[in-house]
Amino acid sequence: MSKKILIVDDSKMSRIFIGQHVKAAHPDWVIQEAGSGEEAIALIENELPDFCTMDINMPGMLGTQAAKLILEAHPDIRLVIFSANVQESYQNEARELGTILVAKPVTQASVGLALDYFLGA
Amino acid sequence: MTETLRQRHFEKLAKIINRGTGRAVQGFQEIIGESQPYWLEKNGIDVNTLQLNAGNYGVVEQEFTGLLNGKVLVLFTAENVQCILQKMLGDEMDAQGLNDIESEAMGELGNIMVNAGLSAIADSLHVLLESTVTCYKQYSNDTIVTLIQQESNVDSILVTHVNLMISGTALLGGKLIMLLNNEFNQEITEKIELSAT
Repeated sequence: MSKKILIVDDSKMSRIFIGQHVKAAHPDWVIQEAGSGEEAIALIENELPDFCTMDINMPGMLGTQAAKLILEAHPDIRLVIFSANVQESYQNEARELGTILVAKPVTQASVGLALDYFLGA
Repeated sequence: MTETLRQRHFEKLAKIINRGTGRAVQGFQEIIGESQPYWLEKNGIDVNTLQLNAGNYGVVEQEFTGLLNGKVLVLFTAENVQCILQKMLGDEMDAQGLNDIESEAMGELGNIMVNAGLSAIADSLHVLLESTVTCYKQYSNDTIVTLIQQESNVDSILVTHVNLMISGTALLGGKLIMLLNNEFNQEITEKIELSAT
């Protein structure tokens, strides 16, 4: 069944690369993009994705803050933090949110980790 | 703090950064070659001591708060920028397309390198470092020296180098420059000593 994934990252390049790897693995998935946590929250109010990747350092609120708000409102969404900022503090925060932190750069392997998490592998 | 003691701490700091950037660069395939890290007092900084051999650089800039209350820069020579962009984005993209996405792509690459290095410092020393989003600009080597000298909160700098291998091709990477102040140096000295005990 086709799934919907929301890619949240202020880097257009990262959004494109994540999207390309997702499409390569799951051509039927629908991809949505947001450039900030605020934009992601607004998008989700209108259209609920199945999955979400979330950068941390973006203009406006931190991705971890946006992730917390999104998961509190929509606990069924499977979300991963996808960031170059891999400090233990943020990894712990991701764990407390019940998710994982996948380290950039965006590669087939790193996107694969996110996809495995989404699909419960 | 004696000069010898200080050198030892800078070397430890450089090792931590290299470990972090090495992990990130493995994502691009592997780290290749490591030039010797070095540190300079602010008043000893010029084009020669910074080893700025190219005329112009693409510069990624990111500010940190917390223990490191200052900036980190990543310098890519203009020539390297073109090579890296071609390898990251593919040969089919024309020169105009590369120019259009240069700021975006190099900013993200710099972001990955800086955060990998700084995350390793944060984890080694059990501190949290918060950062701004990256900013990418093109500067001449003289302008880079002036910018560093104009930073009022800087006493010394630490320079490391990160090379890359993308799609099987070895590429010269970037010069990672941490702008440091005495407060940070003192705190980092204490924390490195504590972490060693």
